[in-house]
Amino acid sequence: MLLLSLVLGMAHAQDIRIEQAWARPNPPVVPNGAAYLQIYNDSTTDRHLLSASSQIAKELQLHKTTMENNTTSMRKQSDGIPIAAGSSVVFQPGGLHIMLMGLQQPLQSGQSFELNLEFDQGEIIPVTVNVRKDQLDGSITE
Amino acid sequence: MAQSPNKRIVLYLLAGAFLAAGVWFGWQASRTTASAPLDIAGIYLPEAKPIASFKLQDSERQPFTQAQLKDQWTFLYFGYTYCPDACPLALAQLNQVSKLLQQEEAAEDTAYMLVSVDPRRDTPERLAEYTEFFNPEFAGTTGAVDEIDKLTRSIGIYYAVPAEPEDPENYLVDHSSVIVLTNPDGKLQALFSAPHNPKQIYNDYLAIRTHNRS
Repeated sequence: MLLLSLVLGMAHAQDIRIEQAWARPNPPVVPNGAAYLQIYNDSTTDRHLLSASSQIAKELQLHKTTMENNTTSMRKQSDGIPIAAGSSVVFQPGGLHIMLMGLQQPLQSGQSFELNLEFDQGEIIPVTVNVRKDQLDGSITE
Repeated sequence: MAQSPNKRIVLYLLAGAFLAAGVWFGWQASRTTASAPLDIAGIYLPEAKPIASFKLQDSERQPFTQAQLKDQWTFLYFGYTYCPDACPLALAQLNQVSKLLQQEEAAEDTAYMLVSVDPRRDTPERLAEYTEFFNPEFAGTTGAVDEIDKLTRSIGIYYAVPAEPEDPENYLVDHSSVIVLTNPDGKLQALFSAPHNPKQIYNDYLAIRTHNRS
């Protein structure tokens, strides 16, 4: 059964593409961070991101920040993140993010780490996350 | 657990609503008086609003009160260090503002302050390390909840910290996303709503300074 789901998982993995995965460096004093990426669903079926895991932190949670009525709220997305057939979902600062809780070590610019994304058909997609600073609107070079 | 945080949220929402109404009516009223409005992307208060007295501690454990707001312009952001997304973004954006200002005379009397609304976890030392990571000139402040509330109510900042979190190390805090600007009289002069654009805040800030001189 496990083997079957693995095979099925691999068959479907190509339908999901992950791009531009990054996380910002965090001050060593803070044990939390956030990772961002873009998920493309190239298949003809609606898909669902269920969870994320990594050795980099004790726990990873799918979160969404909303900034409505001048208030910033962050909520765990316990039901996962739907990605409709033929569409994409962007995880970005001030919106969807993968919260890294209990980082094993501070994230430093130039580093990278691995995380795994688990989708609804059982497949697990490995992603390399690059640590770099925010690229801001109207940003200037340092 | 069930009642008090909710009550607290309602109180803050009410306070926020009253302040918003106050600011709106104040702004309407001021349009007919001599103080000129200013057309910026942020919200400019032609009549700068006095801030109630409060007593917090800065990241060097020195008092941070109304007095520390005077004789300089201060950008204030209300957040907490455990915040992984919105707060680092806001501080990175303020860092961008400070970089844009580097060539300007205005850089000399401009301060940046993170006010932590989560004193249970954010000690002054932690705040110092946190803010310096973004910019060595940034500072942090926090203190007793009562004192934080004096400042937040006075400016119309909303926040909600769980009263008894299940895990005292891991909990989420709701907070205002606005960046606040106080003037050299220590009064509330402008508010910048999220999503923030550093270039726009920079432009607005220079326009406000020029406007206030005229």
